[in-house]
Amino acid sequence: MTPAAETPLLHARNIGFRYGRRESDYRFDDWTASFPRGAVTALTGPSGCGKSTRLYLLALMLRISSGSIELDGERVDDLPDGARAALRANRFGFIFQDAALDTSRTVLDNVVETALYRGERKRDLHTRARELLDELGVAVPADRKPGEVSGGQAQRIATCRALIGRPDVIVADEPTGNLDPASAQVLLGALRRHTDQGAGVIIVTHDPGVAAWADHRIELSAS
Amino acid sequence: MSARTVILGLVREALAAIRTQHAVTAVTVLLLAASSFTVVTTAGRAAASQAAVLSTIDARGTRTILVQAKGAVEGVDEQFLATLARVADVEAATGFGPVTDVTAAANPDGPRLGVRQAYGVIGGRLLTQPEPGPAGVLLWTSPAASRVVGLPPGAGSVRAVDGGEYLISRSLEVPDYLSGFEPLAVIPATPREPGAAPRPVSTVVVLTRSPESVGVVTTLITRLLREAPPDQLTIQTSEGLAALRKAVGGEITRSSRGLILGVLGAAALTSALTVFGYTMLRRKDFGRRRALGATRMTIVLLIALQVMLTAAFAAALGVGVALAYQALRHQPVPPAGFSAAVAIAITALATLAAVLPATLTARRDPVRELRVP
Ligand SMILES: Nc1ncnc2c1ncn2[C@@H]1O[C@H](COP(=O)(O)OP(=O)(O)OP(=O)(O)O)[C@@H](O)[C@H]1O
Ligand SMILES: [Mg+2]
Repeated sequence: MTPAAETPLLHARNIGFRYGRRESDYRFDDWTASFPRGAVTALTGPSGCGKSTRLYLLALMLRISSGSIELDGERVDDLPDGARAALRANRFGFIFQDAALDTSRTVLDNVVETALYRGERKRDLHTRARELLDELGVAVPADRKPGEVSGGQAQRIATCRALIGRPDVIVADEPTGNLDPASAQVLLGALRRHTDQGAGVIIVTHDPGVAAWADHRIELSAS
Repeated sequence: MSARTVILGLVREALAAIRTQHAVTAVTVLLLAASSFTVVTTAGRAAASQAAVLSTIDARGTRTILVQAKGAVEGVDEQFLATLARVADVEAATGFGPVTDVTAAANPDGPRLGVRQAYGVIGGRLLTQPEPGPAGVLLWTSPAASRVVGLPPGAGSVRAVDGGEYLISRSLEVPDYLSGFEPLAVIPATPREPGAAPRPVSTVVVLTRSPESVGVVTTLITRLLREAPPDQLTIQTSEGLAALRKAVGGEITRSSRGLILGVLGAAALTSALTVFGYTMLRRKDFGRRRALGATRMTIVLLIALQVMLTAAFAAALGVGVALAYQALRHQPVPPAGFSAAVAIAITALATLAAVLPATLTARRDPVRELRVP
């Protein structure tokens, strides 16, 4: 193995975080975790233990209060806001705990949304978007609005949106929570194909089956 | 990625928001179209009537200076006219000699018309006799003057009460500032003999290039004629009219300025509130965009563009409807510059007013917005 390959894709080094100043606010200190390329890492633990919070920190949406985060061996936690946003647009894909789709736009518009933030033309991504929707088994017309699809379909549309930019890292917050076992398999299959191309996937899950399917597991204890 | 792609992408996204966010688009269009309509139908009317009043005053001659001499006065002569004609602020100077009465040659007992020897320029035309030929002395008459002696415009001949005969050779178009001299008939001066003394004139009418230069030119005239006995000379200026013009301009502008500022201020404030309400309702939407990688600048630009495009449409609509409404009711229509300025001001103000709520939106914590179900 080359040294470069040993560098983790994403590395949280002794990070600390707190939501507010009150004693009762959720906080943690000194958390270290490593997420390799080409693999799925599952983050598990009881409700409220801080899984989503850690995903947001790793994906540069929240700022850590101590420690450091490295992407491809380069420190990214201390970058200014604009640079962090650019990294989110270009290197990360997100699947949120609820699908978080734009209800005013069509399914197709939702899948290609991030092109705007990367400075790409949305039109150039339409073909790939339709292929992804097919692959994920979203059997609804692409001009349908998210208000007219089921919860499971919405989650799969959000997965297409995460995959469309071929990001290096996908962070997924309970992506299979709303899915029947067959659809869950399709979604996990798509994520697996993405890691096969060298990307890393971090998946938060309550499902022991999904955790077992992942290549690595990080178990968080109740705070 | 090119800047063009990014800008086009933002414009498309803003247009999509305008199309899909019916409520905020409708409210903004109504609000700003109504503001534009109000400004054009109120202050615009004032601006229109102001323009009308000013052009009337100008036609009455806010740019003229009248010099009158009792008899032959030292310095009031064709040389004086030539000097004035060379002054940059002077558009035209016309000199008139004493009046002679004439009648139509064919009707010696008919109505009389006063004709004057004239020097200088009338309506851009140099007043000069051709070399005296067999035709005799030529006369230029205005249509009104020809009518007085019962002749067709620009033709016929007249005979002076003291015997001289003149051939009417040209129909004279009397400029506005000389309308006080109608019915006007002039005998263009013969060229000055070399070495001869300049011939005196009794009345000089000077037209300046602008109402503002009346003062300077008057001072100059006073200086040129300082040798002349003051009791034999009167200099009348339109400075009174010029002052009136200024007062009218200032008055109407001041009264409508308050109104315009009021309407624009109200439009900006309500626009800011509308955008604030809109961004609060759609905070999850903007939070998602930020989380997915939109920069703060992208968010501000998206909202500002959305408001700017909506406002431009609304302002054009409001101004257009107002102009049509004014025209239909036969009310004065404001100058095009005024209407354009109203539309641009409304659009710019609404867009500026949107920047504050847009910035607040861009600075919200995306995670917190995403957690709100
Ligand atoms: N903005 C906030 N301010 C203060 N505390 C917060 C805030 N957001 C979340 N928390 C708290 O932080 C803790 C961790 O929340 P988080 O969403 O990371 O948990 P989780 O492990 O994802 O839970 P679940 O499995 O239910 O999704 C919770 O106790 C939550 O109440
Ligand atoms: Mg969670």
